[in-house]
Amino acid sequence: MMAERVVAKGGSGYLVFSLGRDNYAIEVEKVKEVIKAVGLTPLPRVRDIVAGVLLHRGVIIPILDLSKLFGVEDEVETGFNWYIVVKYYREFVGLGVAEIVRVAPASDYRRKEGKKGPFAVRGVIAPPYPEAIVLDWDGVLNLAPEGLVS
Amino acid sequence: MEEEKRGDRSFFLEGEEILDRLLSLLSQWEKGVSPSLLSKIIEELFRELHTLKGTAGSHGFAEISDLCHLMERLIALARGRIEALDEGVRSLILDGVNVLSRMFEGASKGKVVEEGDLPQRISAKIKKLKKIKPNTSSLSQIDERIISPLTEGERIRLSTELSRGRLLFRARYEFPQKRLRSFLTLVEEKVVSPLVKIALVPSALTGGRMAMELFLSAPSEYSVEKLAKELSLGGKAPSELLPLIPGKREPIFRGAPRTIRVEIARLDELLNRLGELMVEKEKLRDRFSALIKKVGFTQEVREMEQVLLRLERRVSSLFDQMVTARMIPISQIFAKLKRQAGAIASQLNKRVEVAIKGGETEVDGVLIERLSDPLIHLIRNAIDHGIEEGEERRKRGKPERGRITLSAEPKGGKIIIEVADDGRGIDLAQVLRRAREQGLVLPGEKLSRERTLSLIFEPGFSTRTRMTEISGMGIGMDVVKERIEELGGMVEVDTKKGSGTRVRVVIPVTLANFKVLLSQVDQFTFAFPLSAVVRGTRLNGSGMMRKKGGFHYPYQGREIPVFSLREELLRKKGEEGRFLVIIEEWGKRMGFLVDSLIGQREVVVRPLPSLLSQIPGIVGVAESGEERLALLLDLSFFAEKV
Repeated sequence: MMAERVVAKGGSGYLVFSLGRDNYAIEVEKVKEVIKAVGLTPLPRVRDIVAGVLLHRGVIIPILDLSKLFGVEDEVETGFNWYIVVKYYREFVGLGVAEIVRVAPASDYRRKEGKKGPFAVRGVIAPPYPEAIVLDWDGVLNLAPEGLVS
Repeated sequence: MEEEKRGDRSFFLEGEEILDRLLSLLSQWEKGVSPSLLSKIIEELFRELHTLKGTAGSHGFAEISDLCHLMERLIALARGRIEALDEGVRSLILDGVNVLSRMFEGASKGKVVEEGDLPQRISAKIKKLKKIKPNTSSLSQIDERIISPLTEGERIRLSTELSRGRLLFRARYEFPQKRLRSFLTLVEEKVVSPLVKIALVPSALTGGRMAMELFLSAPSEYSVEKLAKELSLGGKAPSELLPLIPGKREPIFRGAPRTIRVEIARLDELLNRLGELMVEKEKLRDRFSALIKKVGFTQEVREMEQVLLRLERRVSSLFDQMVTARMIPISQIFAKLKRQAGAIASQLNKRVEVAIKGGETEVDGVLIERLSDPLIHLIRNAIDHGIEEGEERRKRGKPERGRITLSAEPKGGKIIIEVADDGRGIDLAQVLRRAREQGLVLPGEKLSRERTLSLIFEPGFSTRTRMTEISGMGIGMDVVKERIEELGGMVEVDTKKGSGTRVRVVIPVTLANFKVLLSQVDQFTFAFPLSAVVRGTRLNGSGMMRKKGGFHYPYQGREIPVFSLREELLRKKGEEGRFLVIIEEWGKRMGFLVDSLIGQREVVVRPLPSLLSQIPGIVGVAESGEERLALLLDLSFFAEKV
């Protein structure tokens, strides 16, 4: 399995990825690694945002379908190409995304409050590159009270 | 820093073990022993405390080291006054062990635990003991066979040393006769104050060798280990070092034990790697079968199969041995629980004795480590909520001291662990009342006894209107249930008002060596633990009945309930599977409809991440060598429905 480790030193920078028509960004510090998408094992009795699980380095990682979480599944045509593995409390969660766009420096960040679907927008990664939405990822990853099990 | 943490971890592990042994010795003392056995117990108590003092000091835990030193002084005085020892001394040492236990728990969390008035009480007892003349037991209490070679004068010297409260030892050395002169020189150099040489008794051995028995006395605070080090002559330790305590006839120093301490996490990691090797072995077998289909059973293939068979046998044997190495007697965790029970009871000013049954039962060390917190919580509950105050117990005609019984029993691939107390029992009316107040039960809703009892496992449920320091600690009964179920186990409770409560935990013997039967339903691969499978069969179209409440199938003269995994887990209706897997769980037989049977596999089981741990009917993920992971079925989930 090919894996690309994102170096997260210095506490600055955002990993920008695309999903549907929009680009999103997540702080590099939250990212453990980015892995090329492979086949998943489906699970019964889970919400549709759980695409399945993956065994990676001896650990079972649930992979979330962000397009369903953000309600943009109609915009996503190609499925996932990458999983962004992020730390969730003491475990890991994988975020299925279409493309990894770039790692933006922290200086590209602009505060801009608002909402994107059910989630709070903290800011944006500003042009000259295409704009990316920086969500409040703690809010996104804090999936309770609904949880992942249906 | 990491080294330091590892060192501390090792210190806490060793400390816990020593505290467990101290409790075990005190428990023997409590049962009533002969003076000679009590001498042995006192000697062992001293040795354990001495070790604890040393390790605590070297790790910078001065408070623990100081308390050990004080207790050591008390025990050193007790050594020469065996006949004068009373329950007060034992009780004081027990209090000391309980305080040490709390200090350890506190230190592991970076907290300082106060000793209270214990040092003053020990010092007062030391003063009292000093006033008692040391026991001048006559030499007739020493095994005559040991001292028979001594002359009358040497016996008088032994007796005098004994009356001074000193310890007597016999050290044996074996060496070539030609080294006698250098041996004697070494004795003169090494056996010096505070040691006192009493006699040297030579004897001849074959092959030009000889033995020398050195009788000597040492101050009362000397341990066997310390003396063994000092009596190492020319770098050679005595082949035997025997304390001449009345009644003690077995040498207790025989060199280093042939065991090493390994953290369970490391064994776990090793087993995981071996498990992965098992999976690769399965993959190799699959590819080999495909190769035979392609090229036929040629001579080369035949030879390759022989090699493969040997490899399979060796890998499987290695895995089995590793699983065995991870098994530990449950007494290890029971001893820890007993110690913690003592500390909890002492905090609550309750008198509790803990009885252990089935301590020799072996269980997976990893599993028992994860079970530790839930069991401690059950004991906390038993002492805090169950065992009554002494006065109340007397009024009810019960012994003033409460009793908690920890028991373990292996049964059909499972271990049954019970925590039982003889306390007041659970007040079901109060449980129901509190559940109504907390909105867990609707007004007017009638519940069976079992359902009412099960309310104690509801999240947030408590019968307490006020929290004590103990009951407010740690985890709730809902979490106890959750943790046990995560281990593939179940928990049930039974109670009798006024007589006590019994909590029964059933867990698998090991989490490691899983053999499963793989099956397919739609795109899902489900794994049945092979130990539970009675048979897998193709349905011939007759026999299956659909009644109200589900499918039933006639099997061995009985109708057994049958679950459709498609309906139960996938929530789909559709053409039912053509294969039936019959299993037995908790003594209940039931069937499962599946589309196809893939076959038996040896798998590595991995727990689901906590985000997914609530999936009903699935307990983990099995890595089988197939492209997709298999979902390990939680058979107890289905058994509960039957």
